[in-house]
Amino acid sequence: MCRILYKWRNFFLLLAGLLIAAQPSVYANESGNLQIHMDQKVIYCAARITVADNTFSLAMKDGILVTTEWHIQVGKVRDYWLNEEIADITVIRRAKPDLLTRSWLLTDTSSGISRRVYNIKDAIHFLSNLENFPVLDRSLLLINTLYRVSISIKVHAGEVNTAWWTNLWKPAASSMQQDFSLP
Amino acid sequence: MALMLLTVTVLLWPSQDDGGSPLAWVNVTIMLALSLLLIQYGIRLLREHSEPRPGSRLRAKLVIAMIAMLLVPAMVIQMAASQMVERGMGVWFDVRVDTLLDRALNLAQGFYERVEKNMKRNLLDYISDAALLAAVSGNMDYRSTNAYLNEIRQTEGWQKIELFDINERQIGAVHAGELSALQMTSLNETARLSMHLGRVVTELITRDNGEVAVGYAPLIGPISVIGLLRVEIQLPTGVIQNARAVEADYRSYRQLEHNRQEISATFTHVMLFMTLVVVLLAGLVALLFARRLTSPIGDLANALRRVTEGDLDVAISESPHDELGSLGRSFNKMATRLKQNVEAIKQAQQDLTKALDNSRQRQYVLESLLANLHTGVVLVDANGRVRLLNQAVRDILHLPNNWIPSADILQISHGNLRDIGDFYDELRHQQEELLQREFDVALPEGQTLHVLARGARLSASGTKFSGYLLVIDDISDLAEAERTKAWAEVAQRLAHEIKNPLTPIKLSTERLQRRFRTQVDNTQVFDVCTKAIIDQVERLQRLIADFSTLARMPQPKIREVPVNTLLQDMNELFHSYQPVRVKIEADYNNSICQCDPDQIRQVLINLMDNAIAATGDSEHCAVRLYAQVTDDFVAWHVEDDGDGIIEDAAPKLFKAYYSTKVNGSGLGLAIAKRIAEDHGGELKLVSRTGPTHFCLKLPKHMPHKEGS
Repeated sequence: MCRILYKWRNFFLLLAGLLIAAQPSVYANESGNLQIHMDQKVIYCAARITVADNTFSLAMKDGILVTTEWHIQVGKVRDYWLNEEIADITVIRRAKPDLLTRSWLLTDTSSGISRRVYNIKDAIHFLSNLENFPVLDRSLLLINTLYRVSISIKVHAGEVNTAWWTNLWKPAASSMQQDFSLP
Repeated sequence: MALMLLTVTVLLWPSQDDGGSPLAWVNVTIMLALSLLLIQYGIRLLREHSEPRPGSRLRAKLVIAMIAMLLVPAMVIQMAASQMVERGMGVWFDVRVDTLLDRALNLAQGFYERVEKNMKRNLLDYISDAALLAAVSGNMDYRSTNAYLNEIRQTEGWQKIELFDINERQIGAVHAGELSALQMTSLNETARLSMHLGRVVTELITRDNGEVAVGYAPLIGPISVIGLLRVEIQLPTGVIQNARAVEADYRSYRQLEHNRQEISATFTHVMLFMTLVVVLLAGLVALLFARRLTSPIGDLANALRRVTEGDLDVAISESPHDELGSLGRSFNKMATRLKQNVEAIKQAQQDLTKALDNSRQRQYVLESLLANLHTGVVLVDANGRVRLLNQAVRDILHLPNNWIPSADILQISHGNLRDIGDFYDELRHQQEELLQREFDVALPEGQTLHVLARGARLSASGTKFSGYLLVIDDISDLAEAERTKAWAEVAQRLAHEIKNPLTPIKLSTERLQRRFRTQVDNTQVFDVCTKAIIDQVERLQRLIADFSTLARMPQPKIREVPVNTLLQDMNELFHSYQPVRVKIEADYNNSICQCDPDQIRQVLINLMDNAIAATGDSEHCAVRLYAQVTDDFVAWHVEDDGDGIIEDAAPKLFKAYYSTKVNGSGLGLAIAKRIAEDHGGELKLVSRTGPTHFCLKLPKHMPHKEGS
């Protein structure tokens, strides 16, 4: 077995190289706006993704469930090594259309709060904006240290497949990052 | 094929738009792997183009043919299936279906809209209802309020009606069903919004028992909103179910339509995946089958190549019981027989080589023996032709160039070599096996050679060869030595017999001269006669002394003698002679020669005497004596400017009893030459005239030195 693997080593290396070279095509472009602000105790973030107008509306008008999955990571910036992870938060927002009443049931699965809106713009705003979202407690951070908030957003049309392997191939619709430090 | 597959791979490369499904990547990976495998296989075939491995080409052709046979229909099926899917998708998502679903949804939505519109229109009638305003203002008792509410419910056909004041406190409530169904519910955001905005609002709420349409009507007083009327209508279950079913179908349809490309791509990828898996499996099976089929052929080709290269220890498998197995068995039999034949040939070759080596060795030994022999050997076959003759016989007899192997000995034995032919002829015709003769052979330089010839008849008992062996020895020196020895004995005996009476004769003659000189008449004649007797006696004494010396030459007593010492001795002896010049080099002060000084001095005196005698009294002639010293030799040179030596006398100068002088014994130079040879050197005449030049050359170091 080892002899066979050694014999085909070059072949597998070449194949892996070709596949790795092809992988960057699935990476998301940075599109959106991310702002960090803080008060005496909490660090908040305000994020908005900029996608095509019909990204949400086409599906939502057709009665298709649309979900945005916000993956927020906070890490301490290090020059010569990977950033030290401090916080890792996932926020899922869902807009379920009701075609009979022309309304959308908006649900934030993180908080469990839901409400119904009768305007699609409100639903799109709910899906594409994260306003004053508390990220972490200020006491966890050091003064005069650079931190980086990275957000990647995945947009799902239809029921979300919760299998672990689906995220391996699901590209992010948008990603953004912002550095900050405590004054 | 690899390029075609690579092209298809590039065309099907997953893009970001289609989400890059895992199956697409799996297909791309498989196709890429297949392409690389084919490219690698092709490169290997190209590399082995000049010298392919046995069976590899046949195997490649079989595999390619099998894969092509499978790939072509698979690709056709794939394309047909894709077309069918595309057509099917077009049918599924037809515009008519789309329109139908839209209309169905519109109908369902229209039902809800009608319910809401009716509810809103009806509620608008009660916004400023005086009774309701009075009730929320506290100006109506509870019973009257509920009665009024019940009246409204029945009038409008609502299932439930509730009245709230501005503080969201329920004033009254009426329900169409049982009293237990009348439950207290607080106002929600929509209700508050209705009160806040002062507008009639409706909403649909889904409950366990079905969906209800809820309407909110703000009760507007003279100034502001002072209460809220909430009513509910239980929507008909059948209609709602149908409407929700329409909505669900519409959603599903739209969902499918939304994923139309993804579905088509998934179908294509699944089909492609299945095709690739089948091709892979088929290729693997084809490879195994081709390998199994071509392996015996490859083994056979490899075995043939090894046989061609000389390796006969080769055997191939005979396992298959088919034509290939039969071929293998036949090949193995052929290889075995070939090996046996080659081994037999090798054995015969070894025997021949060994015999040839022995023959060559014997010939080499014989040739070396003959070449190193100082005895001349001539081998003549039965036909009288020379088969072999060595270098010694050429050197001894000075054979001409026509004495070569295969020459007829009788024909080439002419002139001075006629005796050789006669000897062979005598040997050939005599009865005895052996023959020995001595005879003289005249050499071209005028010398005469005394040879001993021995012949033997070679019998044909051991070998097929028969002939004659002639052995020629030069015994001139031996004969000369024997003659010299005999002469020395004669001379010694003669000297002994003559020497004894000479002294009394001389003494008697001198006595006669002293006693009777005065008594004779003619004194002059008497003196001449007596003097002649005395001179001749003295001459005879010297001659006998030389004879004795030549006959009994003593062994030289070797010791180290400076070169200049001998030159100084000669200078002292001959400096009184006017023409003599002895050159003494200062460089030779330390030069030593190992010799017997008395004998060397005798040689030099002899040479100087001869030179002085040759110059006579001429004032213009000179005699020169000088020496030359090298690392190995010391040479004394004696030159004179006399008349020189005549040409005929030169070869005989060093022979005994030859002299050019009237009173010479002819032994001086012979003795001198013998002394030189006893010292391991030589005495030779360098030039016969102008000047006459003799050179005595001796080695500086003798091998054995006797006492000083």
